[in-house]
Amino acid sequence: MPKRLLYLFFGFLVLFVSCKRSLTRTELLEYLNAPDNGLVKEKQINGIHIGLQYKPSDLYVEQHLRAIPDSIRKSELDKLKKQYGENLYLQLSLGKNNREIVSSFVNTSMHSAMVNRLAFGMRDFVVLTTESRDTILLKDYNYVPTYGLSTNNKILFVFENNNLNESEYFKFQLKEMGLETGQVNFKIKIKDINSLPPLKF
Amino acid sequence: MVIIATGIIGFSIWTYFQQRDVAYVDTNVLMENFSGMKIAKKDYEAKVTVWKNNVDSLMKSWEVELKTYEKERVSMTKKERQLKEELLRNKQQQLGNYQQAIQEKAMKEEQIATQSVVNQVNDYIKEYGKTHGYDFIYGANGTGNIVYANDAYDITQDVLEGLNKEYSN
Repeated sequence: MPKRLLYLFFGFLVLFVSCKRSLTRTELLEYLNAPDNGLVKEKQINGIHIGLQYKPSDLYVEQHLRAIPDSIRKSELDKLKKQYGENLYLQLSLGKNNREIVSSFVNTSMHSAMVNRLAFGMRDFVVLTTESRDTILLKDYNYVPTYGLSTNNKILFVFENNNLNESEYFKFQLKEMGLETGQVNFKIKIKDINSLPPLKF
Repeated sequence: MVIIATGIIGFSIWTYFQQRDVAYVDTNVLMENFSGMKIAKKDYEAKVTVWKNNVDSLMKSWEVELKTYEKERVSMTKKERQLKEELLRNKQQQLGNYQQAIQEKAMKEEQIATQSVVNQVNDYIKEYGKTHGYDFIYGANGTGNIVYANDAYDITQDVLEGLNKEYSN
């Protein structure tokens, strides 16, 4: 009998430890912004600040749900989770001296070229690969101009979320794009993504 | 009991300090022998050769034009000579500007190629340091702050092997 109780106790303990607590949107953002969790990476090269952040699809599901009437929210949740879960979202940020990267080119011949590059040409400068060097399809990306009001320019990349779990990590490569940083690589470990607590809906 | 507890605490502290480790890498050896650097150098040299050949062929064509003019100038009128000389001067100036632009482009290209390699090496050393539990990994290059270090702290070969392995994978 005591032995059975002991097994039961350890069973509950394992269950308790393995269950991830759901987080609110604010808590999830705090988790994502903590460098120790491995989902945000930053580098400073020749005065240029380059950051990469993993954005869980739950964030976009929740954003989408907010635009849906309360009555059908519950029924739409699974559909949206599936829809957004097909993608991998990575946000690249570029800045210099605490200002947007574009601002550092104001009054130079490079300014319009850089704006153009960020808005329309980033496909030529970004590659995402798995551990075995398979390239992951870049579906789309989005650059929203902030007109000098932010500390960096942000570009959201949407990749296909396929076969990533078979890899230990994926590598985001930002090729030289006129910032004189050379090629910059960021590695994000799949285990860090899998440890991410879910969002409370 | 107290002795055992003190022993355990002492051992833990000793282990903790044992883990706080330092090492150094010879950055010159690392950069020279890193496959990524060798390939970047080769790519850069191939590009520069093409640019240099372009400049050389333009220069040659200008020289030919100059020689032809020198041969034919006796049979030319004063106005024709003036026009041809002005044309040759303009071409020479354009060639000089082009040559300078190519030199600047080559310098920039070299700087970017080197920076890309430095980024890769820095990333690897950072990861190596974390996985091997180092607190500091110094870079020795013969002109830096490290004047002497015991060879036992030199991890250059180990880092180089790992770096090349990662690059080839």
